[in-house]
Amino acid sequence: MDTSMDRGYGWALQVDYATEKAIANGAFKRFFATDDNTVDYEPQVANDEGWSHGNNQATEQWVEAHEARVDHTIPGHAQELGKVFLLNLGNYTINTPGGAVTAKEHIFKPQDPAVSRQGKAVTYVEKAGAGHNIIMPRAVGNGFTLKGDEAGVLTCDFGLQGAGKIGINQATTWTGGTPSVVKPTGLHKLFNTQVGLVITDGVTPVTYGCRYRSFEISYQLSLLLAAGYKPGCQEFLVSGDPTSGMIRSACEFDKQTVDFNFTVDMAANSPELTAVQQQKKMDITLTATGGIIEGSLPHKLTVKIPVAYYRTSKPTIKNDIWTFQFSGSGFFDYTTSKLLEVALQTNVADFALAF
Amino acid sequence: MKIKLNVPSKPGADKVSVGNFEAELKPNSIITVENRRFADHLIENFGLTETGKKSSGDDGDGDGGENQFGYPAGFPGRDALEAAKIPFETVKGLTLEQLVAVKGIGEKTAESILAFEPEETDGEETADDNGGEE
Repeated sequence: MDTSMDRGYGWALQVDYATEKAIANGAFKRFFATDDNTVDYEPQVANDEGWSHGNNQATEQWVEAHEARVDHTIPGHAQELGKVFLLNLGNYTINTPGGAVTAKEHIFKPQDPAVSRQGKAVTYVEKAGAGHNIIMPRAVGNGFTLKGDEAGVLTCDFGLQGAGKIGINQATTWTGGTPSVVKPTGLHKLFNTQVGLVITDGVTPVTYGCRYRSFEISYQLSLLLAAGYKPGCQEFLVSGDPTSGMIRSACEFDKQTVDFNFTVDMAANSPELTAVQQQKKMDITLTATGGIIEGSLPHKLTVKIPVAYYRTSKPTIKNDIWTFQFSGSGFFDYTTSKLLEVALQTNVADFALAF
Repeated sequence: MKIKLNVPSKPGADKVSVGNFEAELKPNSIITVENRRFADHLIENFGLTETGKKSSGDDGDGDGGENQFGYPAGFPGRDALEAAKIPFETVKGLTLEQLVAVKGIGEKTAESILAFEPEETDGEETADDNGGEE
């Protein structure tokens, strides 16, 4: 009998949306999920109910298209978070910090739709016990939520939207001398205890310091799911066979949004509710500084939302004391030309090669 | 469409990607990208300049793909000819004197136009444009 321990998830970056990664030794990298989710797959079917065949019920059903997606949560390993950011925040640059040999600074921003609305895609593999070993190509990111709470490891929820195609009973190997899915090593965890939060209203910066408790920063993409099914491309589950059902030929994004939620200990004259009432323009910087990579260069995550407006700020009880929980959204900043910026300093040379 | 870009001495990044378009920015090098919008992104955000793109247009080699005016890739003086709204089919029949009369076309460029043959890939570094045209 297989238990939840016998599950595995992996991925490999595709060169473009259409080209699936082939199963081969070391072709995929395993990622560690804290959940036990599996792919949600559903054929899009139609039937002949109501046709003038004289029957009160449908007489047959056929498949027109396929749909598949999956959600996962990964722990906040610096070397793994960058992969989620790359899939979802398509504007990516790499810099070398001064004095660095192995450390690189990776900057992620929302993908410029003027260049392209098609994000990077991965081929995703999954196994659960002895009877489930599947592959899902053309999987694009539909957003992520980065979280930190109390003493815990940072976590990142993310979703992968497939084209609908699922390969069943694959030859993907997960163990052995040369498996198809290779485990990552040397991962460095970032903790909520390493987080610093500074928010300014343009006049008075508030460094939350000891008042900081938890955060959630959510970047979401609304995908053009229906438009991705392109009948003229004639791409089907079985190549050349329209009766096998259509799969997506593209999966572009429409809207890009940022929302956040913070919990901080209450203090006298807390400014958060005033900021809500007066709709002040806020500038948010959240950093998580981890252990040293080399010299004085640490693993470091910095999330910047240069223009934010609060939506709510409410007293709540957490750990038996009063806290403020405040939330809001990010807006595009003309001055810095960005909605959101995530900077990740870690010992990965290039996240596009790290999958 | 091949668009050649000059990378400045301090481009501000080692590598840039937008979706499936990517380019390594080695200082003081020339890279080639195949997507106009990605090229514009590099120009606007990282200070790259388009090779041969000068305001006078006198020595521009008009690199780029075909467009509504029908000019083939690499056609010399293309920018000035497009600005004058002269289609490719018309240019083929112009004399040297008529070409020089077009604003932005000098004698050297006019001679290049008359001698033009479609160019081959010249082996310069090509950025990875897996995104393709969209």
